[in-house]
Amino acid sequence: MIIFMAHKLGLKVIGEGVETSEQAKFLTENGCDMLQGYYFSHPLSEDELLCYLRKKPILNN
Amino acid sequence: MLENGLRKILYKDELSLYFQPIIDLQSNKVITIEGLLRWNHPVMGWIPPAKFIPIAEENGLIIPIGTWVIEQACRQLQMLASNGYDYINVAVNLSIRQFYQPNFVSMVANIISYKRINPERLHFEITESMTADVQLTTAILKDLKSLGVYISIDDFGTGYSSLSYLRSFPINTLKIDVLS
Repeated sequence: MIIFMAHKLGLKVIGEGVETSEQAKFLTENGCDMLQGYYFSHPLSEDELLCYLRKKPILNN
Repeated sequence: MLENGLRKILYKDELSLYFQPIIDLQSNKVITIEGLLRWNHPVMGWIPPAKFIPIAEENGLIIPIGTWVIEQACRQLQMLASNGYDYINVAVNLSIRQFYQPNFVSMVANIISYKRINPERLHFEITESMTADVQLTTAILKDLKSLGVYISIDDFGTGYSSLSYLRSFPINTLKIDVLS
């Protein structure tokens, strides 16, 4: 519902605190535009971040 | 003990910013990274922001810390651009005391100009608790937005939960927690 209303107002929605693939799937199916959480990555140092950015893909669709 | 340590935090290099990726579901790429504070205390080890940010809000140290965070975000944007990731945004949290400083917007404008970053890549996250005074919040957000930066509301739905006031705020993004 929040996601639907946000889109009506022209806002993007980030789902955060994602820890499992089920949560990622749920938020994706409910229209989230972006996702954040330990399921994808914990907070990284600068070096770790560059490593993370170099490896792809992130999701196995 | 925490408060004394906190006063030296910036010049002793004990504070660092870590970055959590935010994935864009359309492109399946990291589109933004959120900068999160870490304090490595020489005796007590890692202290979570939830423990020291309230103290820093109380004693005003949040102002220099907050400025440092924005500078670090801009430094990270430079680093990303020089590594070929000029499309990635850096988001940082604003604290309530920092946000209501009279010179806050001009301070941000200064940093953007001397760091020579693309303002569109700099994203600020505010919380619902900072938006209680709708008129004042709208005015500050409009000034801030005029610099070209993006604004998100963090943890949406946990506070005032009013979608109606969102119409008056010049914001781009809502963040919702999966568990809320």
